[in-house]
Amino acid sequence: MRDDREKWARIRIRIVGTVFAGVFVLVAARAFYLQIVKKDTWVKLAGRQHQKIVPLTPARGTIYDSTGASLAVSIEMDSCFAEPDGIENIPEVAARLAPLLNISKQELEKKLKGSKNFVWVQRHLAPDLAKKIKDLGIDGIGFVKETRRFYPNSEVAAHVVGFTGLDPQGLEGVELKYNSMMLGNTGYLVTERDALGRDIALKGQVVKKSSKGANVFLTVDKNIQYIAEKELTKAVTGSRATAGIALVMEPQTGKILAMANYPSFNPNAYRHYAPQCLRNRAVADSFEPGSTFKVFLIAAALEEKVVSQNDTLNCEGGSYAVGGRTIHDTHKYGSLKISEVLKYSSNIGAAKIGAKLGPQRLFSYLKGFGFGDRTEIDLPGEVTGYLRDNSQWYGIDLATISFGQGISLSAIQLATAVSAVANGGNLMKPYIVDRVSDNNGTILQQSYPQIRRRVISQKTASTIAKMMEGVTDEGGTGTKASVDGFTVAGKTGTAQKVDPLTRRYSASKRTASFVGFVPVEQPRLTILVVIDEPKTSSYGGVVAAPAFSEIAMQSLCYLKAPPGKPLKAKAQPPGSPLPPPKVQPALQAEEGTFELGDEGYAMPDFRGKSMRQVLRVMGKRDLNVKLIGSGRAVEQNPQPGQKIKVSDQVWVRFVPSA
Amino acid sequence: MKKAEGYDLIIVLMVVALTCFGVVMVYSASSIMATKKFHDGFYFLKRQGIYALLGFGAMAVAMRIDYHFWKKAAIPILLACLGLLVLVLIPGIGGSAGGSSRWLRLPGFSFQPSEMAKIAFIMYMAFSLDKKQDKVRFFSTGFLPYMVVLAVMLLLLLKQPDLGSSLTLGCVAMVMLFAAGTRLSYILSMLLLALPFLYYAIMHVDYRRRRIMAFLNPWEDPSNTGFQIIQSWIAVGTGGVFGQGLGEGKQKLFYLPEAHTDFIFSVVGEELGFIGVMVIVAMFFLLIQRGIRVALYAEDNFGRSLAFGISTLVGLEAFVNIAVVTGIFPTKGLALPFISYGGSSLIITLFAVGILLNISSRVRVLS
Repeated sequence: MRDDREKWARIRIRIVGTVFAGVFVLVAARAFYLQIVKKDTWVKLAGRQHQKIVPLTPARGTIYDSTGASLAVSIEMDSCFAEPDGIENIPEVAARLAPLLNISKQELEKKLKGSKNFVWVQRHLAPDLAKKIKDLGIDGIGFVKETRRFYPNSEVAAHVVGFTGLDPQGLEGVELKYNSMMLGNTGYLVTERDALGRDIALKGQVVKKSSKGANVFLTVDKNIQYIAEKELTKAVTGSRATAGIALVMEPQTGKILAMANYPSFNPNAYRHYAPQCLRNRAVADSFEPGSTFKVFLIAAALEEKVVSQNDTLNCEGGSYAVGGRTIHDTHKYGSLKISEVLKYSSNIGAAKIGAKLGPQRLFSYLKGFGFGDRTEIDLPGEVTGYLRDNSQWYGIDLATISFGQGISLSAIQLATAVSAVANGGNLMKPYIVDRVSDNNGTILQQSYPQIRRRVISQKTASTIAKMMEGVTDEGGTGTKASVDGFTVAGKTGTAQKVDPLTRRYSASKRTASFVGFVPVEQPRLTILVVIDEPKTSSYGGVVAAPAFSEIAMQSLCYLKAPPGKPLKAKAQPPGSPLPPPKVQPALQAEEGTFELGDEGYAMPDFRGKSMRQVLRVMGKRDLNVKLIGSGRAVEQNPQPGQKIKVSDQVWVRFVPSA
Repeated sequence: MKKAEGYDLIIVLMVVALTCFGVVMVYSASSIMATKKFHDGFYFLKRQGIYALLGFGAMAVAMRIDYHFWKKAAIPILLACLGLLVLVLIPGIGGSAGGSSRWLRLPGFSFQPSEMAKIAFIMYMAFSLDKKQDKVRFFSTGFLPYMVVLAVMLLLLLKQPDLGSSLTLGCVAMVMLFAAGTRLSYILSMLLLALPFLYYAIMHVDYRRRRIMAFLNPWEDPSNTGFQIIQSWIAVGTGGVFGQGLGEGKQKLFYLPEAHTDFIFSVVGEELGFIGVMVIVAMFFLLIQRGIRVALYAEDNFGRSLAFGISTLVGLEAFVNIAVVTGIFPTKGLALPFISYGGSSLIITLFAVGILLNISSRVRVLS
C-alpha cells in the first residue's frame, strides 16, 4: 500500500516535470517567434517610437608616442540634426540651409519630410559653418557634439597606430588591440518627451553624456620611427624592392622604439589604399630568414659546448653532400673558424655545426629563442611563423634549417631573438604600449619589461656578440652596416623566396635582411631591416645593411649616445644628417672608378686595394661583390676593364699583406 | 547498494550563475535610471550585490540545517507569516509602493512578507501531507484543511493587493496536492470554483481590467494600456539572434517600465538576443529538472513534498515572468527568481534552494 502510494507520487511528480518541459519549450518557441521570425517588425517599431534615442559617439582616447606627441586624436565637432515635427515650414528651412550645406534644396526637403522624427542634417560640421547655422536659430534644428578620429602625423607609425572605421571602432593596429579601452562610453540624446508623458527626458536633451575613452602611450619614439621609415623607404625604392620592414627595439626591455613598413599609408584616408599597404608586415608576415639564422645556431652550439670558439671546420671547398643533396657556399672556403663561418656566412660550415648539435638540441634552442611561437606583442594579427617539430625533420632539413632555410619567422620574432643575444641571453616579451590611463591620469594598465626565459648564458651571448661584430668588420658580409664611432654586431641574410605558385624556391626572388645591435658592449638598439624582393642586388649586406647603418647612426645621435670608439676624420658632427650617398670625386680618383658604358659599368682594377676601398666603390654602384679572404686584393673577376652588369657575379680575393 | 550523493552541484552551479548574471543585468538595466534618480549609476548594483551575498549566506546556512527541522518549525513559521501579512496591512507599519502595501519597514531595512509566506506555506503543506499519509485522499482530511489555510493566505495577499503572488501560491498548492495523491476531481472542481472569484478580482479592479484588455488587444491603445507589453516586445524582438550587446539596450532608457525588476528579462532579450534567452531558459529548466530529481529520490515523504514544492515555486515563477515579458500572459507584478532586482525575493529564494540542497545531500539512488 505504502509502496504503491510512493510509486504513484513519483509518477505524478514526473508528470509535473514533463509539463514544465512543455511550458519551457513554449517559452522558447515564443522567444524564437519574437526575436527571429518577427524581428523586423520590432526593429521598425523601435525606429518609429515617438521618442527617439540617438546614440552619441564618444571621444576615443588619444594615442601618444613616448615623447608625448599625439599620433591619434579625437576632435570634437558639431553635428546638426533636425526634428521635423518641430519645424514650422520645411521648404523655407530647406531653402535657407541647403546653400550653407552645399546640398540641393530638394534633397534636404526630402530628408526633412520623411517619416522619421529625427534626421541628421549633416554630421561633423566645420566650426564656422556650425556657428552660421546656429546663428539662424531655426526651431527644430539642433546640434550635438560628436567626435571624429584624426591622425596628426599622417603616415608616421601608421601600421602601429592603425585606424578606425566610420563609427569609431578600431580596425587595425593599436586602435584595434586596445579598442575596448579607448572606446569610451556611448551617450544618448533623447529627442522627444517619452510616450507616457513623464517629465524625464525633454526634447533634445542629452540623457547620458558620452565619456572619453582611455589614452594609450606607446613605447614608439616618433623621431626614431621617422628615421626608420625614411631610411627604409630609401632602401626599398633604391633597390627597386616590393616591400620592406624596419624594426628598432631596446634589447634590454623589449620596448619597440620604431616599427616601419613599406609600402605605407595615411590613416586619415586609409580607404584609398590597397590592402597590402595596410598590413603591418613586421608582425603579420613571415619570411625565410636565411643566414641571419646562423647566429642562433652558433649560439646554441656554443652553449651546448659542441663547438668552441677557436674550433675550425672544413668547409669542403664550397660544395658538400648531405642528406642526399649537395649544398653550396657562394664562395669556396677551405677551413674556417667558427667565427668566420658567421663572418663569411658559410652554409657548409653552418650545416656541419648543425650536424654536431643534432636536431633535438637545435630545435629546443630555436624554440627557446621564440621561433614558432607568437612573441605576444600587443598588436593584432601576429603570426607564429613556421618551425616544424624536430621529429618531422627529414634528410637535408637539419642542414638547411641550420642556415635558415625551410623555416619562417616574423620580423618581430627575429628582432626579439637578436635582442636576447644583445642583452646577455634573456628572451624578452616585446611590447609597444607602455601604459594606458584614463582621463584623470589614473593608470589602467602599465607594461613592464618581461623576461620570458633565459636562452643562453651571458658568456655565450658575449662571445656571439663579438663574432657578430666581425661581420661588420673588414672582410665580413655586413661591412656596410658599420656605424662611425660605434661598434656594431650584426648578421646579413639573403634568402630565396618560395614561389607561392610552384611551391619551390624562386630563381630570382630574394629576401635580403640585416639584423644587429649597437654598440656591442652596451647595446642601446637592436635594429632589423628586411627588404623584400630587391632588384638591384639580392644581398642583405648590400641592400639592407646601409639602411641599418643609417638608422643606427641617426638614432644614436638623436638619443645622444656617446661614441664608444674614435670617430673617423671625415665623420660628421653628431646631430647633422649624414652626407647623401654620392660618390666623392677625391675618393673616386684614388680608388678607381666605374665608367658607364653602353652595356653597363667597366670593372675597375682592385689589385692592391684594401677591402674597405673595394667595398666603398662597389657599394656606391649597388653592385654585389663577394669578398674572399682578408688583406689586400690579389685577384678579381671580371678582369679589370671588362663590362659588368648589376646582375653579374663579382668577386675579389684578398690575402693578408706581409 | 544505495549511497548518498552529496549536495547536487548542478543546482549550486545554476543558482550561483543565475544570481551573478542577475547582478550584472540589474546594473545594465538600472544604471542610467539610477544616475538620473539617485546620481549614482551603481545604486541598484550595490544593493543587489549585497542581497546576493546575504542570499548566498542564507543558502549556505539552510544547506547545513537538517531539513527535518522544518517539520517541527512549519506550523510556527506559518503562523508567524500570517501575522506578518496582517501587520503589512496596518497603515503606519506597512509601507506602500505604487498603490499596494507589500512592505514591512524595519529600522535599517524593509522586506516583503509575501515572499516568506510562500515558503512557509510549502513547508506547512509538506509537513501536513506527510503526517496524514494515506488520508490525503479523503476530502475532509486531505483537501479541505489546505483550502482553508490557502484561502486565508490568499485573502491577506489580495488585500495588499498582490494578485501575482496569490495566483502563484494557489497553483503551487494545487500542484503539490496533485503530486501527493489528491483526487483530480477535487482539484478540478476547486479550479472551476475559483474562476468566478478570479473574474471578480480582475474585473472589479480597474487597473487589472485594463491590463487584461491590454493583453487581449495591446494595439488598441499602444501608448497607454498596451504600452508595457508593446515596449517589452520591442525590446525582446529587436534583440534578434545575438542581441544588441550587454549594456547596449535602448528600451531600458525610460521605455520599459520596471526594467530592473519585473521586466528585466526584456532587457536580457534585447541585449543578449535569442541566444542569451535560450541560455537563461535552459539554465532555469536544468535547475528545475534537478530539483524534481531531488524530489523523486528524496529520503522520505516530507523531503519529497518539500523539494517538489520549492522546485515548483521557482519553476512557476520563472515561467510566468518570462511568459508575461514575451506576452503569453497578461502583465502582473512577478519577479524573475535570482535575476530581478529585489532583496526579499532573492534572499528567500536562495534560502529555499539551500533547503532543497540539504534534501539533495540525503538523496539515495540505486547505483
